[in-house]
Amino acid sequence: MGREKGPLTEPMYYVLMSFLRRDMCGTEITEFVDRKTRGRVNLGPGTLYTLLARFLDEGLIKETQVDGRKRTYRITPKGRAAFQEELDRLRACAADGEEEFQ
Amino acid sequence: MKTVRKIIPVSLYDIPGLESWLEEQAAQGLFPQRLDAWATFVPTGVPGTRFRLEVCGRPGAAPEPDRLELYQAQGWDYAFTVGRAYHLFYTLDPSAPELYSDYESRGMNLEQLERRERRQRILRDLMWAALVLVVVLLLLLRSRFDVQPNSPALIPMLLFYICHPILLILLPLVIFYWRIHRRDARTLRATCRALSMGMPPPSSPGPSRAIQWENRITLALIIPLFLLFLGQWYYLNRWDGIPLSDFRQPYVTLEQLENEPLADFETVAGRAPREPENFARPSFSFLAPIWYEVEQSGYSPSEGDYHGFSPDPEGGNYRYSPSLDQTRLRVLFPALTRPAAESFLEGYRLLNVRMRYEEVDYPGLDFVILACEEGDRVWQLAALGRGRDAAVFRYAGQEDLADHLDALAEIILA
Repeated sequence: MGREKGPLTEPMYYVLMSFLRRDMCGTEITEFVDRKTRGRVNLGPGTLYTLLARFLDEGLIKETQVDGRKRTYRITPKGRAAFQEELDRLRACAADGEEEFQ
Repeated sequence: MKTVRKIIPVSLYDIPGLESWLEEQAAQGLFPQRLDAWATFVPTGVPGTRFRLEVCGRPGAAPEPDRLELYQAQGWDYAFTVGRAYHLFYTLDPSAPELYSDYESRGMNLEQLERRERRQRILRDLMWAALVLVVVLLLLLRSRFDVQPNSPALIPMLLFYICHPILLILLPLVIFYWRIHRRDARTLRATCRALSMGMPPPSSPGPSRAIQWENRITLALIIPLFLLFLGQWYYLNRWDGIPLSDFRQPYVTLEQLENEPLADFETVAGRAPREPENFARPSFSFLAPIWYEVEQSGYSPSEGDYHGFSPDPEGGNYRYSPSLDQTRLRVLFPALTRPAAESFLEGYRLLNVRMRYEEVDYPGLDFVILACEEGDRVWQLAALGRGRDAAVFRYAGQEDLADHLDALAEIILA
């Protein structure tokens, strides 16, 4: 069972994606998104902080470590399911588009 | 360091408008130090500074350390917390990324504020509705114990209380504030709605002379209101009234009415009374420039059979202890005198005691209304008036007020 509150926005999608391989802290997420999208998605600190708070609230991620001012987060099974759901939705969208476009 | 104070010309819920106003101030070399009823700046502003307001996670709390870390890493520094709603961040670095890279997440951040504002608004509206309901019920409903209901007679007294300077300032201030708040809440709702749909926020109304005047008027009303509260507190010494030994206005003393010698509670009981006794409470209304109330109780020094007190000797079983409450008024217009006197007379009436009213003539007075309890004749009321002056009395004891009209009339005729 994934997320109940509708599809993920693009920044939400990439922030959730950043946790798939390992735990991450805020600055690492920003770097990951920048690298992954080759600078196309520029994650503002306000956006990142708001999304982390929202994901924590919805139980998609959990806090694993607090080291001074640095907090590290890990994706939960619910978060993985939400990501999978979004991935399927995007695949379906892309497939629909491809089909019509050819 | 020299500080500059300015009235904020933007609604506090017009976030883009407030941010750009702060940026304009920075362009003039001013950096904000505080934003509340007005803005305080120091002359350390740097042109090109960007300001951004962030909604506090918890109202009034400082920003979380990890948030500070994250923002600092991107070039944004924390300035201070604005009221209980926002954290103010700023950057001098033109290459620092915007705090929000998409509208939706900005909308999520603002949602908290909008939810908080909605909760407060509902609570406030409910409170006002309850207050209005209580006033209406007080006027319309009759107690089942009330043997002679006459609520409309209380309306002049209610008007006197409403025309108190504190209320006369407080009421327009509340209405004014409510109107501003409604408009600001609409701005916030519209911004939230647009952002949550991924659209840019509606264009900011920006600084306006009207908002500047609204803020000036609010401040101008708050200052006299505060002074009046302070003055009232100081004048009354304490909220439970002025001891009669310190009160200089004329009033009828209980001893003037009584043939029996009287002492105070402390003298006869050897301890202080639970509730304050024998005090005056000055008041003021634009409808009654002179208005004060005096409450007195006295106790017969002779022992009763029981160590109890009563306004009635009750066959000698209890110690005789009469009381006299009085209200002295000088109203604004002579036409108000009688309705006011009748209203305060009604205010003095005891609900479960049936009174018999009669009007008598007294030389030099426009009216004298006497009322006494049917049957036992323990409780008696009197209202006297001439021109703009009125005095209303409630007496409990063994004397007949009709026999003491000279003493009662004296505070009006003197």
